[in-house]
Amino acid sequence: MISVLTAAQQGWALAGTMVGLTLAIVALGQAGRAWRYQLNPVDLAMSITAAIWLIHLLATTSLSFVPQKLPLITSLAGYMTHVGYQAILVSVGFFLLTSAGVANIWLYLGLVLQAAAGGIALHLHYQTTSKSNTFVPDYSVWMAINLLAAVLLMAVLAYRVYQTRSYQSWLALAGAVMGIGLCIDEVSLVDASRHMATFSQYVYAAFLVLIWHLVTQHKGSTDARATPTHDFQRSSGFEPFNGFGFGPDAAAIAVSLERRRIAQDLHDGVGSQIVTILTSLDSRASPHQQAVALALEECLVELKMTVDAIDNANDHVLEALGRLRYRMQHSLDKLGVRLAWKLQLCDELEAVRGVQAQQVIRIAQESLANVMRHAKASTVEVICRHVPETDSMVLEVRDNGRGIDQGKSWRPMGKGLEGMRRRAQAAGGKLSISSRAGAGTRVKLILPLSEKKVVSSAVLKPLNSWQTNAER
Amino acid sequence: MEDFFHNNVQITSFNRDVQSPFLTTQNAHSTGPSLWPDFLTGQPEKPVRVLLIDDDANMRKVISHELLSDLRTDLVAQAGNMREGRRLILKHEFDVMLVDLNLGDGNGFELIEQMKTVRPMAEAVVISAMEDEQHALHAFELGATGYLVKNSWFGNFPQAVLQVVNGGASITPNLARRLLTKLEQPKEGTHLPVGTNPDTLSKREKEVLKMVASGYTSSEIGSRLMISCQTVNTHVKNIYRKLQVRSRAQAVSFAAQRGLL
Repeated sequence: MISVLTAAQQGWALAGTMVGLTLAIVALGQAGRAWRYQLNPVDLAMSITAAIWLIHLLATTSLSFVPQKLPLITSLAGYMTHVGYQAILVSVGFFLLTSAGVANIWLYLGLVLQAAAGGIALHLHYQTTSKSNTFVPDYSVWMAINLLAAVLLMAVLAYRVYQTRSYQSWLALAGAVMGIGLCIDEVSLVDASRHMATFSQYVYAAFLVLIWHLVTQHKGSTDARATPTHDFQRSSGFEPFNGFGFGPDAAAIAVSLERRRIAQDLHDGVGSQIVTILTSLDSRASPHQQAVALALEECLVELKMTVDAIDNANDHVLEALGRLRYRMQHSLDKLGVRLAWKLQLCDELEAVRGVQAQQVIRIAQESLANVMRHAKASTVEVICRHVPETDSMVLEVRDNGRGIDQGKSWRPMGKGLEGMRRRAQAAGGKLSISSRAGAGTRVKLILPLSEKKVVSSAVLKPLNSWQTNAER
Repeated sequence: MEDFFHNNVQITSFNRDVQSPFLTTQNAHSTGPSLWPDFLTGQPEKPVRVLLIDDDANMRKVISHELLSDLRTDLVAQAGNMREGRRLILKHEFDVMLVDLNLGDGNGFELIEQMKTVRPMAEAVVISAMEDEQHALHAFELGATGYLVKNSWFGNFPQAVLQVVNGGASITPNLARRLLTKLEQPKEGTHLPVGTNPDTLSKREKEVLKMVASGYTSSEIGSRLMISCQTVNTHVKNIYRKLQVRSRAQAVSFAAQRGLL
């Protein structure tokens, strides 16, 4: 009834198993790692399937070398083999469902049910055959259960395809159809002696690995983290559950979402904390507390400008200045400093964007902060205009405060001024600061807009012209 | 003062006093009813009726205290969740609804929609913890006229209410920039030639938005364009109306595409 495998057959089987084992180990390793780093359920399903396959292969291969004359061992071997099959079937079902992005808890419970029913059927069968001491391969009940489950799975996947028309669900459906074909094949060629995986089963396993690669977009078998996109898939790890998670800019969207989230957290978390501290400070109290309050307000402005810069990285300089005013106006109001806003709206200035614009804003912000900290001014003027003759942008922040006393006040401002100069250089412009005690301060940035025209003469205007301006 | 401690609300557009930049109505003075001109809505004998919906009990306490202590405003009713809010909108007559976006059992957007259908003359002002143009734009699309951010700076609620009922329109540089990009891009499925389309920006409106985006205040815009501050407000309100029309038209064409109509 049961024939021992011939040497040739054993050789073939061994070769096939070796290939299968390597494949299973590679798949398990990759899927496991991917699951750990990306928490994608498809990776989890793949690692489970690969692990079960590995165990099954090892078990059946070792069993095939046992002399199969003893009915007890044969029946045990058959039992083990079929339990392995059952586990593989369920895990493949799980894998296909996750690949298609089905997120219905009842369907997954259905898989558990299938496993339980199959297991019970097998166990009952094993009990009866092991007692009767004659091994009768009759797995019809078990096969009926699993065929029914496979047909249901296919129906679910077909419905998923109808719903989403995403190519992952098409792949999963193809996997299910092939799986059913394989099952029917097994039924029609019932042969209990064949414990080891057949060629078609290897092909099917390879196909499942292919589906996994396509669905999770692991291109090739390179390290999962080698491609930059994978670093960001974590945040969108459950994309398959949405049905459409693909396209080249999924990563870019994920990055911008993450940036936005960080910005929002900064604003809502740190920002509201600072506001709470600010409100607890009594503005009429000691000068020390007032200084702390002012510093905190600067902190808040700084935070908001950072958040703004994350949100609107590619604004032109006028819009960024607009935001700066919006952020700083409150502090200026509180100090009783009147702000005169003189921006020239023109296309040339709107062309100043990106990093250059950011540097300009930081210089303006620092200048205004200096006015609030040191100047004791009643008016501050912000001017931004385009000079067509030299094709350059001129930004001026000037106040009517006490000015910089050459002897003392330079020092506390020194660091800030140095930073402003660096920023001006980085933006490709020149910064000049002119001041006289009691007559205010002027910070002037000249930023050439076209490379060809060299600006030099306008940088350092005589101090007198500023004074007359301030007196006007 | 305990109440004062919680009184930290940024009025995104209407600031407290006259020299503030984003003030949109003239003479909106916070010092008290004595300086409040008698031609404006909100007089002690006929105060502005306010409905307040916020799930934060502390915030409600602060706001209601402020509204009740100002003679020009009156608090009609307050609710802490969406269901109660829906009921109050149907039950009470009011002029302004202050509504939080995050309500425990829903979001304030639905309440704005409901309010605009039940009481189209009333104004909706959003009080939100989120300083986010997307939310603000959506609120304006639904017909809100103000968007205040909690936990930012300090502001005063009666002031915001009074400015809204007196024709003030709320706008910030960021919002103006978003509006510019949103309303400038050509809409799909329009057959009208450019310029005659009722929901594209006019040249003047574009100009106003550009100036707001670069930091100019309503009064500065008014003097630069040689129009009154009230006209600037009207422009801003018209822009919001266009935003509304546009989002409705999009909803209709979306529905038509999906075969819902």
